[in-house]
Amino acid sequence: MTALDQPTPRTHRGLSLPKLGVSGWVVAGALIVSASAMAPVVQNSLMTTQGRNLEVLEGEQNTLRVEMRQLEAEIARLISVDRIARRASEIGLVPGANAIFVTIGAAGPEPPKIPAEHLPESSEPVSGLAP
Amino acid sequence: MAHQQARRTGRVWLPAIAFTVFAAIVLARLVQVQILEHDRYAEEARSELYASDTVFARRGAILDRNGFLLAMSTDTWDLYVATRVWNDDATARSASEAIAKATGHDATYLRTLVQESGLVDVLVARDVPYDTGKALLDADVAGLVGLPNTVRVHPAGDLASSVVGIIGGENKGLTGIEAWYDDELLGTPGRVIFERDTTGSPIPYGETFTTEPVPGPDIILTIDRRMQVAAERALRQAIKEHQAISGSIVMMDPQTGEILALATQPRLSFSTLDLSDPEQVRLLRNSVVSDLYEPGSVMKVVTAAAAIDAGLVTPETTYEDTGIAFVYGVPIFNWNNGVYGEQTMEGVLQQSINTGAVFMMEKLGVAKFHEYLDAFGFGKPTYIDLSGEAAGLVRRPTDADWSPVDAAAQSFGQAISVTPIQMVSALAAAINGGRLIEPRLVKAMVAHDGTRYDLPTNVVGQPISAETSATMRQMLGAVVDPGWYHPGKPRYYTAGGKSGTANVPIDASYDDTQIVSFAGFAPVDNPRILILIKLDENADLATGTMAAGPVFAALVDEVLGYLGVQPDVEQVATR
Repeated sequence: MTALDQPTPRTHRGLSLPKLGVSGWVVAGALIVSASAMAPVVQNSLMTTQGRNLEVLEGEQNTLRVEMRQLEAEIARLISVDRIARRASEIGLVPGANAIFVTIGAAGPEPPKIPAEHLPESSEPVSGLAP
Repeated sequence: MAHQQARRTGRVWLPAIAFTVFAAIVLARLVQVQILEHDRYAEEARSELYASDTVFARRGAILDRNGFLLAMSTDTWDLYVATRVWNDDATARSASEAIAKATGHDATYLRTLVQESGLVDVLVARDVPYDTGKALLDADVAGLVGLPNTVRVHPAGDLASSVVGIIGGENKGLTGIEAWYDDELLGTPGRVIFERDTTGSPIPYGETFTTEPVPGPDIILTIDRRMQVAAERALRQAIKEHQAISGSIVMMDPQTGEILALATQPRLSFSTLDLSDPEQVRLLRNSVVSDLYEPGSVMKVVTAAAAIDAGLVTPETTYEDTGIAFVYGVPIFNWNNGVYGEQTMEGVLQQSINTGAVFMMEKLGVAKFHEYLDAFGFGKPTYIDLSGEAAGLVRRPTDADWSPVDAAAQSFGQAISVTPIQMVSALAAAINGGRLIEPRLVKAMVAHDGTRYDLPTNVVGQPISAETSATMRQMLGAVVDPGWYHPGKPRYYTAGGKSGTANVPIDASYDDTQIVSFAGFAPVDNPRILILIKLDENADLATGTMAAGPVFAALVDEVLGYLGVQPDVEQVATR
């Protein structure tokens, strides 16, 4: 019965907290509260920065789109038939008077460099006629 | 000293009751505002906090059949000035000079405009080039606000201007393809909802909900820019050479109804258009679909096709031309008062004999003749995709002022008014196997995501059989190649066609002025192109054959060569 009377030794199986004094716990609590308070501010700041970056990128994208459209218009103006005819005239070319048709075996010229969706569904093959 | 016991009264309940009542009222009001009328007040709050704006979609471009741009929208800025900011003279002066330098305006004019406007924001420059406007806005010019806009540009200049058309100030199509396909080209506007401050301006980094606009589809025309250039050039030259006041040329693929070129002269000019000038406003109308004319002898093609299709004559059927035909006692003469003796129906077309056309019409009878006119589409719109199309005028026995002579006159193209597009459509049916096809100017649409939708060919009738059509091709081929010189005969290709010369009708009579035309196709066996050339009031009084025939011949050689069609006339070198 003696053994039964002896107290059971205490075992520490749970989380052992650091031994802080009262002031330590106060400081820790203050830090946690401060961090919690700062988190939304930091998050908001990050979002604002990212929002600003996004806005700048959207602006750049828009500028590039505009430039692309301006370049499309410029290309279209440069390859207009009127302009080409005028330029040809300036360098001394004149329309051919008498066409002679010959049949040639070579492939035709490359198709124009324009977006595929704007090309006819099935472009007619160049027949090999050269006026 | 004993305290006097306070006398118990009920007065203490008065403030208590008052406070209770007040609390109850406040509570009731809170219930009303926050629960019962929650939705209403929430909506009011939202409307106070949020504002919305429409984001217009980019207008679709217009391209020729090979993808070359004819009209497109480029970005610009509309520049506004906040009047209040310019109350300070020094600020107004420096800002106005910066704007004036960039836009070419006068700085003093800008200051006066802003200071005398009485508005909060004043529009000082519209459609400023994008780069110029952006540089000004980036420079933070005081009071300057830029609103994005677009402007329509035409990289090919005035090419096909009467087909493409114009748009108005609100980016709305007014004429041509711009008007007919306005709903499609406009696209779907988007919407942006944003949090705003007390002045109504968006709160930076506030909540924003955006519905992106969907750009309008690009429209691919059936027009071929090279053929359009050829048509416009040929028309200008012909008008000048024959001193005509106006004219038109239509080129069509007779197998599909696709208009390959449509030229009118005079035509509107995008760069010099002034809608305050009535003369220029008239140019907004496309004469090919809006203006009526008496086609003259070109109508004999329809009369012959009808008589052959009805089995009443063949190309070899003969009759005796005495130079005059009496219809209900009214004499009808040939165009040159000539007498041709015994003639075949083919000869009637070759010599353009009016009495021969009357002969065929009388064989048909008025009712049957009019049935064929209806079947060929006369007297009703073709429903081409251009606004302002006229239906034409066909006098009928049911009309109050009808005369039996009218039908005889109609057989050679008088007492009937048609539009050029009606005539082209009818002639296409005469030579393409007998199919009446709705003419069209749009080949396909391409959505902003690249999806292409091709518009189908729309066959709306079969006025004559394929056999009759084949016969007509040979007969008309014999007109252009009669065995003697014909001005409308191309050099490299077989062709068929018919000329027309008609006086201009005025009131119940005819003017001395004339309208001449030539309608033809090539090659004869497998027509790839149908061309109508029409010259109005040519002062040199040349006939349709002499004035328009050579134009036809030259155009056939040019455009069929361009299309890569093998020449089918001998004299072709092969190596």
